[in-house]
Amino acid sequence: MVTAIKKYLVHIVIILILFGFSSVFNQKLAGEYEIKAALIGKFCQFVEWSTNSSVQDIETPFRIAVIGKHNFGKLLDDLYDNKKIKSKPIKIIYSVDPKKLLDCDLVFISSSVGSELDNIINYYSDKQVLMISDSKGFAQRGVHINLYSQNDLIRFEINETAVKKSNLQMSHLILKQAKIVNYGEEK
Amino acid sequence: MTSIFNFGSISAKLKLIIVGITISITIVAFSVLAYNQYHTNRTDLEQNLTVNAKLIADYAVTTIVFDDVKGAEDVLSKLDQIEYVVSANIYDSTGKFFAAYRNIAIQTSPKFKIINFVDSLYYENDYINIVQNISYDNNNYGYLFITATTSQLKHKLKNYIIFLIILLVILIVISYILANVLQKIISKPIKFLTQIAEEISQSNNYSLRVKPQGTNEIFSLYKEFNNMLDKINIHQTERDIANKNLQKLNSELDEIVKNKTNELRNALAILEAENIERKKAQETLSQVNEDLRISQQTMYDDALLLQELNNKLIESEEELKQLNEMKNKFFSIIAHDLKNPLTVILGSVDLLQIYYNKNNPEKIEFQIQRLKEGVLFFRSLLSNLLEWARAQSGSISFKPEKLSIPAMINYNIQSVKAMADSKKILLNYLEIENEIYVFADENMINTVIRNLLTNAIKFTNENGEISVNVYHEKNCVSIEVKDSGIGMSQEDVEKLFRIDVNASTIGKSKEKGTGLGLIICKDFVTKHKNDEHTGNLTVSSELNNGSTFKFTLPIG
Repeated sequence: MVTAIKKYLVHIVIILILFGFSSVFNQKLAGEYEIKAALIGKFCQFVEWSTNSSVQDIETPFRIAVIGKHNFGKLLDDLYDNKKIKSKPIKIIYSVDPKKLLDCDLVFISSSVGSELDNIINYYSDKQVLMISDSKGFAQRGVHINLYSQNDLIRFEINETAVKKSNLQMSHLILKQAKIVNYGEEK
Repeated sequence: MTSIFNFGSISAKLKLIIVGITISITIVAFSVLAYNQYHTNRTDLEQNLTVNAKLIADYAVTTIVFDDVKGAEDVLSKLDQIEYVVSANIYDSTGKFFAAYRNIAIQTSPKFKIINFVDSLYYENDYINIVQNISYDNNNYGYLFITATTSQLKHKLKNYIIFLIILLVILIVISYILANVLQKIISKPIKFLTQIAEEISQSNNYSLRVKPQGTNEIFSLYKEFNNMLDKINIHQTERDIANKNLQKLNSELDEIVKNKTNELRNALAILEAENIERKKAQETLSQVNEDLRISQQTMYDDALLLQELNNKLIESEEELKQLNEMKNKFFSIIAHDLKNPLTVILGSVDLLQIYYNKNNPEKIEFQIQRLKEGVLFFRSLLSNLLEWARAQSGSISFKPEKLSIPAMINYNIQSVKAMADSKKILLNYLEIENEIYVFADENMINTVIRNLLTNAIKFTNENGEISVNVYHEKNCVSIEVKDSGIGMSQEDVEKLFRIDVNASTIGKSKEKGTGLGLIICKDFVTKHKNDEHTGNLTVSSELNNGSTFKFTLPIG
């Protein structure tokens, strides 16, 4: 019963986020991970996958993979159920084991896989997979977009070099909105 | 158009033309320049605003997506560089306000509201508004609404117009100075020519000449002026000679006219004398004509008279012819009527002779009685005939006098009473109290009344009735004799007064009539005719229903 109510509430929150009735940055109104889950989809609006990417294959769904232990719970499944990214249905896949990497179009690397991060980055860096994390210093190590908190607001930083290396096309608009970092910069 | 320039000297006109043209052209050109400048400024403003709006909208996409109000305000603050922007607002895709910008340098900032969420540019009072869609990758994220003031646009135009006016004044001054100098090129030689012409007209010295200079129209004008003077000179000389000749001819003409006038005067006197004679002759002719006309009229009148007489003669001849015929017929009737009683008398005489021989006194007496009746009838016939003949020949004199009708009727009733009594006929005469007088001939009226009464008795059956009435009618006295006798057919009535067809009728007691009685009555009554009412004898009768005879006499 409690789960059902919770699920119902989550739905309301997601709808409010999508229709812009509430600020996604307002942490007092929604949970941190709810905002992060929403931001994952919004980043896709400003990123273009090249023609040889599986994203261009209309037969397959848009796959979002979550590596490592995460705090999303069912948020991603609920949020992206019956939604579309790049005009394709969305499939959320999870791999708690950092060594077991999944084929996908976007990967969220949780902070729990820090020791395996370089391997993961190496694995995905030439595969046109948008890498997103929420751990300090991950962007400087090669993750494309890293979410961080500042003055109670969730902001993001982008490793522009890593993005260019991945053959993904990122809009200048998102670059202007983000903090630009580079490999090995001061954390 | 030329009347407008009928003032001042040629110099003033030329100056006015040059300065006028300069001002007109400059004003037109400056107006075009001012309009062009304003239009260009406006287009620049619109383009600048549109480009900036697009840029701001571009940068505002992610601020809306990531709900970054501060980022949006930062983006809008870039409009600081455009001094005429008053305010700018960003709305999200639902039309909800997201971020705003105000230009603090501009004090008054009106609050316009976004009218329609589509890309548009429109003016409102002194402001221009622009709406720009905030979109990325065909997705709409919101709207940008910028308001800018157009006062700078007007300010620029005002400055530009002031500049143009100053320039115009300078150009007018320059054009006036230039006109003043340049007009002399044209006006100077004309003025010189005018001066020479004035001198010639005042002094009548046609020997003066101008010295042609240059090769243009002025040179030609000078040359032609000199030529004209030459010709005037020649014409002047010719005119003097002609004038002298003319004077001579005039005096000759005067002489001729004088002579001719005398000749004409003489001729006129002769003509006048002739005219008087002609008039006299004309008057005589008119008189003759009038006489002729009168005699013609007289002849015409005579002819008419003759024609009338002729017609009358023809009529009278016709009448005579008819009378003659009538007389012939009458004589044959009378002869027949006279023959009958004679035959009866002769028959009676023969029978008398027979009865005398047989000595039959009864029959002798009877025949004597018949003989007497025959003779009496014969006498009566002859006396009537005599009376009628006297009347026709006019030997009976007509002497009308005032007579009492009732007395005459009574007298005549008495004279025929024995005859009526023999047939037991009742004679009615209702005598009226008032006397009725007529103006008539006594003998004639007695004859008429007696004849009508004996006729009535004759044609009335035994025990019949006869009535006599007298009464006043319009302007006359009517006497009516009415019987209950055998009456007549309409055909017989019509023959009654016609002598040519008259025939005697046998009475109810075998009385014999001559047929002349009624004709004599008609004649005697007609002699009393004064007007249409008097002197009429009329009959109304119906077969077996009696007859009524009525005659009218003038009132006495």
